[in-house]
Amino acid sequence: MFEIILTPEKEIKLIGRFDALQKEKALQIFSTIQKTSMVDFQQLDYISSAGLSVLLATQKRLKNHGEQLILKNMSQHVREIFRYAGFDMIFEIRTTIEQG
Amino acid sequence: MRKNFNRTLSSLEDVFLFLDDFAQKNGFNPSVLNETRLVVEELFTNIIKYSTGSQKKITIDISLNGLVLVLQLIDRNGQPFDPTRSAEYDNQQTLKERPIGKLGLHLVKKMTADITYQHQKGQTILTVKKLLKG
Repeated sequence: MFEIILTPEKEIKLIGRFDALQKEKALQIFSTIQKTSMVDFQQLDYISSAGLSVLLATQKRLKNHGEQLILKNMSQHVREIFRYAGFDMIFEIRTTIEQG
Repeated sequence: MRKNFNRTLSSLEDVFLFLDDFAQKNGFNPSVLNETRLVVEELFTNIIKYSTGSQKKITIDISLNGLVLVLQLIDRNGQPFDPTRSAEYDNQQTLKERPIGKLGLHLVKKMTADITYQHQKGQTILTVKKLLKG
């Protein structure tokens, strides 16, 4: 199961398992994002290199015009994958839950 | 446990169910299960992507030997295909320099103790060993 929800507050919620089967669908949704956006990982159980590549492609595109994805609420497991990938250097990752 | 899977991306659903079943029987915690899923997904999708030319099923074998998890992917495509010789991924590159892709095998190497490649009699066997914490 995988879902991407765009909230009214313009946040992107990732839910479930972001694997290679979800890549095309996710790319379509992420390609609509034009501005700096928060991505909430709280309900994301799993991500593979396919999911990471969608985030990377989006980050490259947004940074070209001064915007970015900001990631938050990662589980320890997902955080570790980001560290292995060296993605902690190219994304801002917030470790505490944002208020308001 | 061992099972054959169709050589298509949509098999991933069944691959995960197979791994979930093994994890449940062996009391894996969610973190070990996720790392196991990741290793298998990356190797499986790599075979589908790069070892083309036949529709032969891919076998996945998973076993636990004490604290060593042994995963094998058997590809009967006939052609030698060695993903362990892929170029190193540089995880220090800046955003601009980063290639989209090439990351999967890097993650597999980071998460496992050992990965070996054998090709014999038209079969490619990838064997991955992962140490579980006691």
